[in-house]
Amino acid sequence: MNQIFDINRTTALLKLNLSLNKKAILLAVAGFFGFVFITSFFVANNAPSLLNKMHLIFYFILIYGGTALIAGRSFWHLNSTEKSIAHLSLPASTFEKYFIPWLLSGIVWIFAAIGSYMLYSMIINGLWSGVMGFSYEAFNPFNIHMGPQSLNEAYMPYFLVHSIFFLGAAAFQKHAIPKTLLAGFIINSLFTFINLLFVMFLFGGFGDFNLTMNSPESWEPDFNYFFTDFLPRFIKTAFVYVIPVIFYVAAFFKIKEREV
Amino acid sequence: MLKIEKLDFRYRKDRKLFDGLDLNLEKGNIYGLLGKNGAGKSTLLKIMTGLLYAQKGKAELYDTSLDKRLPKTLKEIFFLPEEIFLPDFTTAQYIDLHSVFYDRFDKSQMNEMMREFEVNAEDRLKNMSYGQKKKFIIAFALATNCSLILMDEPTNGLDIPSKSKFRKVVASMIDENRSILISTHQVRDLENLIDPVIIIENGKIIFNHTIDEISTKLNFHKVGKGEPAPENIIYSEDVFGGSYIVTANTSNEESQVDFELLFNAVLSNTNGVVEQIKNR
Repeated sequence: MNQIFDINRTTALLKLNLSLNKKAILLAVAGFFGFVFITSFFVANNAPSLLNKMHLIFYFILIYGGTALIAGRSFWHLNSTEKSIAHLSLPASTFEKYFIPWLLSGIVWIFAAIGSYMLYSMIINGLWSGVMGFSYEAFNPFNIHMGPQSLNEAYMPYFLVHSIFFLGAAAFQKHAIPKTLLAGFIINSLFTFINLLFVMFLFGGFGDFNLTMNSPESWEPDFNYFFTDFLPRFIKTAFVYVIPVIFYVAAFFKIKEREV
Repeated sequence: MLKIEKLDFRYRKDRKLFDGLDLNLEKGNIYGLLGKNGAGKSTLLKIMTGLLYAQKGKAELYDTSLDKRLPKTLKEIFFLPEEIFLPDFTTAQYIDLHSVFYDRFDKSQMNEMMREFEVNAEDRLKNMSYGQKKKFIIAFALATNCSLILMDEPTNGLDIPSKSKFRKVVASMIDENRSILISTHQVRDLENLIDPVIIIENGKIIFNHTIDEISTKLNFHKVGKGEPAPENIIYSEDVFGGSYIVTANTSNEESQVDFELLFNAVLSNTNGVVEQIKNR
């Protein structure tokens, strides 16, 4: 039997994780849709033209908020000594204990969110047109028009958000979600502060850099290339592909090192 | 089976809990682990399960390091802590979801022990009393048929009839394929059950002997006030109306072991007790 990954053990662990979490997840999703239902009732009555836009906003709240919430709770069974003993001494590998929450909060969640939102929208729209005689176009996540922006752009930060909260869940034993948000705020502030220091040292102050920020066409070509082409691509690659991988690896080692 | 060699462990930099600790556990025994508060009994059990990492030395089960937390070692060890966490499942759900991780789990043994402990198979774990929960998890631990079952204060929270049932069940479950290690302060609950006795103090195992060795080499008496004291006293403590005394057993006949007295004797005169036991 493989000591790192075994399909029978993983299936057993998946069943256990689902049984442990299903009540909390179902309650949160039901609460969310209850809120959407009440809100959409008012929107449909007062501003029906905004209904699809409202769905779009709630849809992304469900996907991103849901993944943050579920990823942030991924290791709730390690938040006390008693729970940690029960979980860490379970005969499954560290990789399996890491992989199952990752799969549930990262992959299973996005499909569940898309499916449940579609289903909800179809049921509610059907009910409204059947019972109240109103007819609205059902919200279809596969048919979203986001203007000039590609729809892919809206999903791109998904794994970044997921990895941040997943790492937070692995790193903080208790109150992982607020602590992750706080840590994010502190890191962000520090990063901004370092950037300001960098500008200070490089340019000697915050004065006129002889740049017109809003008209890059007047910048030096190299400068223009760096700031409008290279840097955005670099940041996008880093935040969409590199940082999530780093965070996932860090989360694995956090779980591996966890003691009781 | 389980081998610990030259183990160093500390929680804080300034205080070493274990300092070169050595311990070997073999199959077929119910070990009793005794020690003062803070001696490190629970910590040692956690290291044996791979839940804490040693700073130096090694802890292995069947020659595989425990700190790797490999499924093959974890399925051979069941650790039952003093404070337990049981999720909001029915007993049947818990058994179904957890037993699959243990190859040798025996459902009929589990049901039998639950009947013996009077634990209802339909109850939700969340609604059970602490004692009921403890009996359920003790039954589960034994039904896993792991090679090594580690129990930290298992009789805490059990009522008097349950303590005697616990002794009966544990005694009936031991065989040459497994060992049980029980860490406890309540030695009276486990009299006639634990053998050998291990005592931990100052970061080391200071005593590790079988009941046979102890009972043939030591005598445990209570002497009333004014009564003549026996010879070869190794340890004595004054109590109301007289004193408890540990002496060398020169008759080679087995004596009744008083665990509390033995524990106190070992802590205050380790060399005297150990030398007497090793004395042939």
